[in-house]
Amino acid sequence: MNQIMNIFRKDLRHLRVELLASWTIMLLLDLLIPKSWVGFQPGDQPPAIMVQMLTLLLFASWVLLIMRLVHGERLAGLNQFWTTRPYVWTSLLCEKAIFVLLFVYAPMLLSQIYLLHRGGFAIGQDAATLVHNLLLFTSSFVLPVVGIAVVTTSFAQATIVFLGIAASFAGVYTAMIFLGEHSAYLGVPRYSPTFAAPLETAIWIVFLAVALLIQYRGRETRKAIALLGSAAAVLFFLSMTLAGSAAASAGYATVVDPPTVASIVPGDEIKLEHPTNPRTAVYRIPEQFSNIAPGTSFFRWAERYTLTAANGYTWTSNWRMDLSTLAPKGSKESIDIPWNVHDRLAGGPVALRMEFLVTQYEDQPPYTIPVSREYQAVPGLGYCSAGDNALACRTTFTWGDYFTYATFGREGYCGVQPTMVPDPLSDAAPPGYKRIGTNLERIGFASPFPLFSPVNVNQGFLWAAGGGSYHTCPGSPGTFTRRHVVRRVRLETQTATIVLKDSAQ
Amino acid sequence: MSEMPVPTIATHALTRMYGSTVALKDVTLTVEPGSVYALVGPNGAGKTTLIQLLMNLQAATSGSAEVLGMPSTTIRGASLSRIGYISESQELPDWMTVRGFLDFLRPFYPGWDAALEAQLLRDFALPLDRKLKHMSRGMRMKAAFISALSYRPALLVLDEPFSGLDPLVRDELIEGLLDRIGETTLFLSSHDLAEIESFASHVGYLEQGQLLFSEEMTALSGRFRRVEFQVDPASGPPPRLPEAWMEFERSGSLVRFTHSQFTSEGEAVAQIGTLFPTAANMEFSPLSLRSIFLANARTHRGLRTRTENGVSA
Repeated sequence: MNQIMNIFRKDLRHLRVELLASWTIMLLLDLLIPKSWVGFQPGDQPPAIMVQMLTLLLFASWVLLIMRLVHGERLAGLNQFWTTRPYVWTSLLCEKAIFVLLFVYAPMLLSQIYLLHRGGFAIGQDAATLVHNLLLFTSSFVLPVVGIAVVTTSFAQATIVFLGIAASFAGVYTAMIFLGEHSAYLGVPRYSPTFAAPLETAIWIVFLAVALLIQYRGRETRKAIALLGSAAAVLFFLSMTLAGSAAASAGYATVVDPPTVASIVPGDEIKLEHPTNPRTAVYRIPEQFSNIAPGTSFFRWAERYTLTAANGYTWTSNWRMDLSTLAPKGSKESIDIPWNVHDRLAGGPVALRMEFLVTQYEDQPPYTIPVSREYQAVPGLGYCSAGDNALACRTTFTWGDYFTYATFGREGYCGVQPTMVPDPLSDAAPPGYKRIGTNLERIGFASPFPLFSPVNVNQGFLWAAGGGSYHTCPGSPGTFTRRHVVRRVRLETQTATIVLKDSAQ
Repeated sequence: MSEMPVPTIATHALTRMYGSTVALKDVTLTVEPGSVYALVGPNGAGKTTLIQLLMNLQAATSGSAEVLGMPSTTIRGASLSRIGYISESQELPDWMTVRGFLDFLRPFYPGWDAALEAQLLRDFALPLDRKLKHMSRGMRMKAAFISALSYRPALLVLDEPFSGLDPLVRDELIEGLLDRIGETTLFLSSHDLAEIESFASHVGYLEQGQLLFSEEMTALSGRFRRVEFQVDPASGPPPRLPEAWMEFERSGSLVRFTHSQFTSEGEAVAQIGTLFPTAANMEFSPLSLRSIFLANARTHRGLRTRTENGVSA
């Protein structure tokens, strides 16, 4: 304990400027962030850009702080003074952890609690999201920064390594885009429910933690670098293979005889699109979803298709990302077929079956309140304010559930003294008005990156079906409908027979 | 029957490779408690590598070493409270003042002697409140010495401690070391052969990673002699020179060489007389450590060059 305290006091003296800088930025953010929550008040200029810049600066100050903290007793190299002094590695590691917990995590948590309080949110209700954000902060920010710090000798070297890693990733992903069908982009999104993100995070944390232990225990830099490199390779391999694989759909149950029917609309002509596309043949398949119960909706995360030729040749695509709400009226869905596969299927009848990974939602009873330019409390959502043609809602880290907002908008500007405020629950639009609304579409999307501010304002554009310019009237009643997750399912179409045009045609 | 004292340092066929490059090859040496062991050798001979292996800063490719009776691979944490280490290339926490540096290190060492620290501070006349980064190289080295001597280590390992220091600072540091001789075993590498000669009790010579000799300084000085004599200019060369004769040269009637296995004048005279029957006016003069070092370095470089050129040594 004495050794921990001794090193701690030394680091505190050494890093006081960096600490002061990060705390100052944090305090400024605590002051500025609530000012950025203003609704659609005329003349207000939310300091959003300033907040974004300061947030970036705060994360940069933490990078500097953590790097300098680790490099105070740097682990790579042979000439550092502390390696020939009676340091106990466990004490050193504990001290670094305590320092980060006390001077990075604790102030951040306090700031977040303050911001939640200022935002009008009960801290108890958001405790889980606070903890989740801290875990995200650890896995995707602190640990990678520490990982680079323990195998480098200086901040400059660490910066070069970081830039090298970023350039390598950018290069590899760019190459993948040009090289063909790869699941990193086309698979089930990693932020969708029950997907690989927890697995990838766990792998990342384990590899990083072992690399840290190896370095602190025996300063085996080459082993640590090899381990970090292996982690990157494993994660890259997983991201290339897992997202589009059958495993990605594991959390989506196959429903036998589902009430909602997904079908490929027969009879329409299926045309080859973009015949000069160098990588794939693209077709647009008309699809339809019928028998969707009132108050039920589906959000589609991904799809895949299986094509079987008359001679028995079968090809199944990877899971491909497709973020959209299932439309009962039907739509056309693009399918991509590699040319070598297409050439084996084209010309004759082909059996096509499509599968979709969807989340099913059910509407809860609507909640109607007059929404003005001032923020109004919306249960389960946060605080919302309506502008002329947008709705802004102040919420905590995530929306949690899926909300829709509906009201009537007036043709042309409504002005400050509306002559009429129609009931949004009525079916018929009064003359000069049209139903407008928005989906608050962050359906359970947790940010893949840690956030500093637990309270954020998100805006949704209020649009009218069929277009046209319609504006809200101050104080108009609006209806919020909360959609909660019922289940995650896999929908399948019946097999339909289509003919793919020969590529030569 | 009295027990043999445990050597302060003992290495057994210690080898370190960097890829296919041999940095250290089969080094076996022993350093007795209380001795001052000087490791000498040209640049790139492997001195720093040997020290880093002893301090567990690097891992050996093969072989083993014990330091203060412990395997060198276990030297970390508390065991370092008995070992002092100073290196010319060691990075100090430059942002600290001398006072801050010593205040920080003190709690690490249960045996820290505050009185000795105060005495060393007085002897070295260091400004306590100046940051290490604002100090000259000599002053930084003094601070490093105080930080390594104040806990009275059983072993003090110094890697080129006097390199680049002015003579005054060098003398001050050596005086500081001389005061500790007896209670502390010194193991140092240095190019500063004149200073080493004045206080080293043992010397080891490394060349290309190989320990060519390791012995007491008095024995070393005793077995090296510069030999000069005259021969009949018309006499031919002997068929083969003894291997112990280094830097052999003949200019007309004058013959010179360094005898590396000198035992007595009588024996040397007899050996010379056998190979050079006309030899006369023989003179034998002792060599300084620097001359011994240079003779060894030149001889081995000459052998290496000849071997590399495909000429048999």
